[in-house]
Amino acid sequence: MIPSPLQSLSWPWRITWVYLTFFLFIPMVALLLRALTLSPAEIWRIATDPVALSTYNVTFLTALAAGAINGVAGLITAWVLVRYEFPGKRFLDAVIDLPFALPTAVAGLTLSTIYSNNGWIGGLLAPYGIKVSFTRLGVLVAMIFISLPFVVRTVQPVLQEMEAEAEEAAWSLGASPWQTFWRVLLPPLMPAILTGVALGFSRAVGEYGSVVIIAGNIPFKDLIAPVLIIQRLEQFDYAGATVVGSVLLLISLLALLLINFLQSQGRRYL
Amino acid sequence: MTLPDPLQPQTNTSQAALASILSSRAGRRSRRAVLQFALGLGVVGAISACGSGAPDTATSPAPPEKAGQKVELTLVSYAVTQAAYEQIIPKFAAQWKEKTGQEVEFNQSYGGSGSQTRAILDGLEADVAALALAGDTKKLQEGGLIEPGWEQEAPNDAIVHRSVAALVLREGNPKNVKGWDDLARGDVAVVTANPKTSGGAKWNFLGAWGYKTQAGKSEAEALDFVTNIYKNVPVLPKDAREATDVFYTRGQGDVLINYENEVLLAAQKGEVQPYIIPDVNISIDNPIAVVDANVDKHGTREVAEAFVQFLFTPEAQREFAKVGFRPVDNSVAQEFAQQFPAIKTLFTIADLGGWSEINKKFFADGAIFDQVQAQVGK
Repeated sequence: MIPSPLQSLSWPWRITWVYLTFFLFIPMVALLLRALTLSPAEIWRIATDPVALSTYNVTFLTALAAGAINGVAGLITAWVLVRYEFPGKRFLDAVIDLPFALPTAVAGLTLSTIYSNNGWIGGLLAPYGIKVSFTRLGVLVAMIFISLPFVVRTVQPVLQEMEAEAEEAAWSLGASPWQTFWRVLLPPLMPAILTGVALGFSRAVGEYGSVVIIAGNIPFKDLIAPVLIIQRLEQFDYAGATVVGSVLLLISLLALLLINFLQSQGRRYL
Repeated sequence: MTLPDPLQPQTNTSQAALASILSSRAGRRSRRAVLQFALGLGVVGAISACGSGAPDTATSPAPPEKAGQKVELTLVSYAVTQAAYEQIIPKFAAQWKEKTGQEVEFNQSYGGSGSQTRAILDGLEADVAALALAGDTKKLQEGGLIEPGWEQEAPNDAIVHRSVAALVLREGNPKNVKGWDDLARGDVAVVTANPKTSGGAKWNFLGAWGYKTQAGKSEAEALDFVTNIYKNVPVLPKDAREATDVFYTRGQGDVLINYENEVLLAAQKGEVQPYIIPDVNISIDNPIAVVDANVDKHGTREVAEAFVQFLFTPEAQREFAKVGFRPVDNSVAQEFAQQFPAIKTLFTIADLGGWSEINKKFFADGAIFDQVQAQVGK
């Protein structure tokens, strides 16, 4: 998109570029340049190392699962917060944001304690042979926790704007509750849900502090890419760390583009 | 919480440390510590005066001194040495003042050895580096901060204290663990940190490896043995501290491989843990080095080297022994003989080929530890 001369002079235009340059583009370029100090063969070897490949798998699939679970549960939670009246509603509304405020290491420590074999929740699951802390399931729990507020917060305002008349009209025209939800309610909410899922997904992909504590960090089982990056740093392998970081960045970018694409497809039918 | 942040090493001055000891509170850099620092200053003045035998009192102002007569020294070490250095530093400071009339003030930073090494490479201006393993000190040498040959610049090949591997057990030893062999048993879960990131875990790995190869077994057998051990490892924490936390507070595993000195230190603090010292063991040698580039920049070479020498005196060695390290001074070693059981077969890093060789052979990308991991992952 080429801006008109008038546009290119305007303050918002300039501020946007300066702002993005300093806080987004330069850091990203620096990351990529650091990775490129290695030879292509070396980059390929580090990026496709069996351990690295397993961490992409664990990181992205688990983050995707966490995003999906939060998509459904977050929608329902937002629905309850908007449409229901109950004592303590405001309090609950405020509590939703706590995962953002809590330092992630604290979150990890708390989760890994209550989900470990002798913890409050882990103790209930242990008799069934389900182990949460120090397994991939634990990674999922941590990722769900830290990205929990996103969908609720993106869906809530849209839901507040929606008028109950649309549902009533659908019912009076003979739609079943399921049809009302699927055909009338969900479509306008979809962009907000997808935005929330995308935000939660990217947050989960980059999560380190809580996962490193709740996971066993065993390669091929529950080692995530951000922990692998720190491990490489601990071995003074800065370039290797940035290679894995860049792969993470590229896959995230593709995933976000895909979600944006889905979103724009969805809008077309509104 | 036991997660040392590598970017923010804990620093405090000897005065602050002493002040908090004097008020018998281990308060960290809180507002209270600052207050204690202020309150403690006067007392510290009195104490260091007593130590040097000078007829000075706390009430009279400190004798006028030129700015040049005060020197600052930054000591960077790994977490468990802190208790010893807190005792040693005031002793050295008193001695140095007596000898030269110069006040020496210490900045101390403690954290995981690997993280501390990285911090120094990244610009933490350490004058003296007391790291957990010579491999880390070598990293500083490769980074151009320490001149080659540092091993010859201090007594005892620059090894200031040592320890051995200990197998910490659960109360009553329900799994009946007697030594290294039991760690490879299918029903025993073992907690140890990731040797790629933890200096301590490297010693653990090499201890298990050497248990086989030093007894005349082949490397293939040793590989098989360590693979079986790592099959029993449910968690690979980042460093030894975290491993201890996983074992105790989060109840994972039947055996924790740890340093003997950590176990002894914990026992002193009231956490008595059943443990065994395998009698085929690895000598965990902890090196000390003056960081040449930094002392030359700060003009602190003389005092830094004097401090390093001081660490080898019986006085300082006794403090290391008190917190659980095996002293390298013979007379002190005899004093503490009952605390440290004799080891039948003690092998060293040199016996396994030296750190450069070991890092390449075991811990580099695709090397033995990666192979073990791949095998375990299957």
